[in-house]
Amino acid sequence: MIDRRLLKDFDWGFLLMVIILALIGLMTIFSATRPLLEAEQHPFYLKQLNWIILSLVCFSLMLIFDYRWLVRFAHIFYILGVVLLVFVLIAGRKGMGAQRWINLGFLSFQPSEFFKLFFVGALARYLSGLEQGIKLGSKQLLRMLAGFLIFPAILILKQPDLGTMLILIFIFTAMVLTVGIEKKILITVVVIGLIATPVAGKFLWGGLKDYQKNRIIAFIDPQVDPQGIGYHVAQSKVSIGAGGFLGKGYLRGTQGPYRFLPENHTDFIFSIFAEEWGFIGSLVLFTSYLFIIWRGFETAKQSRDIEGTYLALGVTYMFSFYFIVNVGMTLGLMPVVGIPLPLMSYGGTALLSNFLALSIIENVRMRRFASYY
Amino acid sequence: MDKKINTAFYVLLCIFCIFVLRLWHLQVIKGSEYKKLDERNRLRVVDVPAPRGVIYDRNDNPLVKNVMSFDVSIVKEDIPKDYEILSELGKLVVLTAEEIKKRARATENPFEAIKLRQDVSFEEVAKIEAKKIDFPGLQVEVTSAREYLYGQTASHVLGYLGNPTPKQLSTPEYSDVPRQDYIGQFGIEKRYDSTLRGTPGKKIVEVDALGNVIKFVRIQKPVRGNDIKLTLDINVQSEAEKALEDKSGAVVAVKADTGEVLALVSAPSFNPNLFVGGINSKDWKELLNDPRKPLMNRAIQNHFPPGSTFKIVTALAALEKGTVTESTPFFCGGATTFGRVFRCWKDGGHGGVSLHRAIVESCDVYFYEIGKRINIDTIAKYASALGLGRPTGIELDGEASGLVPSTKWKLKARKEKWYQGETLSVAIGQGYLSVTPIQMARMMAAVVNGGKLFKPHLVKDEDIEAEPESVADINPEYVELVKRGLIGVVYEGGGTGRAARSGIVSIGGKTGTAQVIGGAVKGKYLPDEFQDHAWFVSFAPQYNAEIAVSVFVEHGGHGGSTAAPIAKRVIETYFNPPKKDSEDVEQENQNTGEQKQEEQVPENQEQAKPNAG
Repeated sequence: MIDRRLLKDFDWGFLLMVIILALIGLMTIFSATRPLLEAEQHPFYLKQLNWIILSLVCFSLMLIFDYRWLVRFAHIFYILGVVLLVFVLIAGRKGMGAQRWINLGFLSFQPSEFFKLFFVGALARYLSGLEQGIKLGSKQLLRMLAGFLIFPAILILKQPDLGTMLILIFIFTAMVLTVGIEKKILITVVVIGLIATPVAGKFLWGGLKDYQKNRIIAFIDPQVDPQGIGYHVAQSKVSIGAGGFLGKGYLRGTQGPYRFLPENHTDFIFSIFAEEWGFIGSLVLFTSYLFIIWRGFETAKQSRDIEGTYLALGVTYMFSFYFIVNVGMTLGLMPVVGIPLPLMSYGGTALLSNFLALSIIENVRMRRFASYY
Repeated sequence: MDKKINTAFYVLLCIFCIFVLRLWHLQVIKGSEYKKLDERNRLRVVDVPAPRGVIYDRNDNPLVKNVMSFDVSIVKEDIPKDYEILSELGKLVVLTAEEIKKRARATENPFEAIKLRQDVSFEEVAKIEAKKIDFPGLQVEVTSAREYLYGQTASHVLGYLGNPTPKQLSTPEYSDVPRQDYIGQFGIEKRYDSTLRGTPGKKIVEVDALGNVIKFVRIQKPVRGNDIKLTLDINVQSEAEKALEDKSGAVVAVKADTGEVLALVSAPSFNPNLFVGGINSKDWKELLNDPRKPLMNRAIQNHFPPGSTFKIVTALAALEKGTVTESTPFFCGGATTFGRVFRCWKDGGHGGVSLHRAIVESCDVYFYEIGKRINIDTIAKYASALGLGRPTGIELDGEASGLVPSTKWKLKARKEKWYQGETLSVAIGQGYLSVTPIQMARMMAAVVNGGKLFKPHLVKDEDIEAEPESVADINPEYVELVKRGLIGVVYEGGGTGRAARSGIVSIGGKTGTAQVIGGAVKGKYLPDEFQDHAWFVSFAPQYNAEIAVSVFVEHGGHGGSTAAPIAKRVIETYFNPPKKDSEDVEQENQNTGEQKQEEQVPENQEQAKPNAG
């Protein structure tokens, strides 16, 4: 079990920051969904509170197990995850134009949310098995692509869940680059990429669903149709901009409760936060996220073994990517991809998966000085 | 490895810096711009309709009032897509699912409220409020609606309200009228719309994305429209309508010495309350297609030959011209010849008659004899001087002008010279002559007030003394002569208007018949649509006449039997208004009593109504 040493090395600051961000999210959900004409507050915030408590319990329980056990069984989890991805395509519940959920009767969840964790675990397990300090060759790279990325990426795109697929590709690329690859391969990939993009781009564009195409068009020019595809981004910018330097103040935001900004308590929660807390509040929020990411990288560097490094690194990349794509989207800097803001957006599965991911960082960190047993 | 991790962190740090710069750009540099956009999102300017002015009758009885009306509407986006649920909603507002869909198609804006029902009763509002949870976006609004307190009574005078037409909206007069507002579209409501309308206010409200009002920000109060006091006496008006029963026709009663219109009736009438909140297409079609034309204002739009009522004009013209004198006798053998045979209405003839008896018995031959000796332009001169053949200028739309023929007119309109034979027809009020009931009332008033031609008017301006438009140059002696004849019509034996005899006040008048089919077909039964139109033009009392009344009954047959009793009821109501609980009414009744003693005592006491006072 957990000995004294582990508790001494426990990063309380990290956990505290995670909890604070989750509570800020809770407050913002409360404000975004507060009633105007109806008498009763919609219970979104209560549901989210339940999920935060459940996530905290899971966070703590996960810490009991040494992360090396996770790495040891990572390939089994990975295969299980792929099976679930296949299953969801066959028998999953449809919702909002996508087939992402598995219904267990008492609760439904998105297997792709958890698959990201299995993916990071399996990648860490594979990379730590390689001879360290040697750059990846072309053979290695192709094997990894075939073994880890292509099959699940296609399965997830099929749901379709563009956001999660992009996350997988990003984690994979970032991890491979961190390990290092031979220069000539890097150059080859870049050159092929440059040549192939127009060709593949056409093929990819044809393969996209209409709403995905619209989102990209809307990103290029959000003013094309204010009520249609660009509406989300235009209203998000209005929300953020109207916040000004100091913000309108908590529970004073209007864009969310007045329903001008759709998805205000899920993907666009940051816009609501920025409307109420202004530039100053947003800066503090950014710094808090940066703190968590910084601690992730520190943990990777300080890990007692290479498995821990890769695990912490994979999770940190994932967390960073979520943050960048979501905030970039709300700021109108990136296309609308249905990705929630980690820890703050409303949504149980995503919250739990983020807590579990961050729990891995804490797991590696608290055991950085632990002896093997 | 550590170096690469550091590189990754620096890359992220750069992205963070870009984000912060972007935030600075959105929130600080363009912050005020986005604040405006945010306000434009939320703030809406909503028109607040101004309460319309109230219309009163001459005794300050309100004829209309503004009442609260509950309107039910639903935001277009919230209309249920499911057919069954939509039908359920339809049941609640008494519409079919198709009708709701049809209304929703009128607008492109998904957030616009679609009106489902107007003027919903209190019980129904409670029912709808209870169902609101099942139908989000369903709203009950309180608006102001017009209620016409006397229903059908005076509908042609009061008029009705309706939405402004696109054409009206483009004129400067209606430029500040909100599109959904109701404006006067008929009658006084239309003519005095700018007076009654007031100035709509504005309120700035905060709305959510679905257009639901969250709160009021600022309100600029509407300015209430001005009230209007009519010259109408609602008691006289109601009595006239009751007297007409279900006949088609018109009654106009004016104050002889001012031209104030006391009653202006056109029957059949319509119920202006049908138009409140927009008339439905079924009711509107019924009104338009009704063969009896209830929307037509017969008092000012019907123009027919005046028949024997015109003998008043002919007699005055002949006296003025010296064609006849009081004692000039003519012999009536039932007909006379002038190129052809001109028949009197009485087959056996009236024998030897003077002007007085000719008026009393309405002897046609006497007036044919005048027609033989008088110039048509002389008749036309006096007819025009008494206001016939042209619109009176009353404050209502669509007034007909009628026609008083003259040599000049015939040359111009028919390209023919005038034949003296035609003058004979005009002398007894037939031929080309056509007049409206309101012209006849005005003519009667002018005759009995000494020739003063007043513009009949419906709106009372207390400050301005009524000024006659012109004064007809008629010798008062001749007027007295004719008036005596007219009293005789009602009170003497053999008079054609005996049905107008009143025990309350002395009434003088002249009967008339406007032929529907040429030539007299006497003694035979004719179906209603071929029956002649009946006229009765009257005044009261004999001296210092106060009121002039013209009655026109379509297909009424003889003026004496159908039109005269109606005039009597109208006049009696004016002099003897229904009892009210106020002192001044009692005083009025006492006055009437005094007058009664002064006036000529009617022959038939048993016909007199008991004095209500």
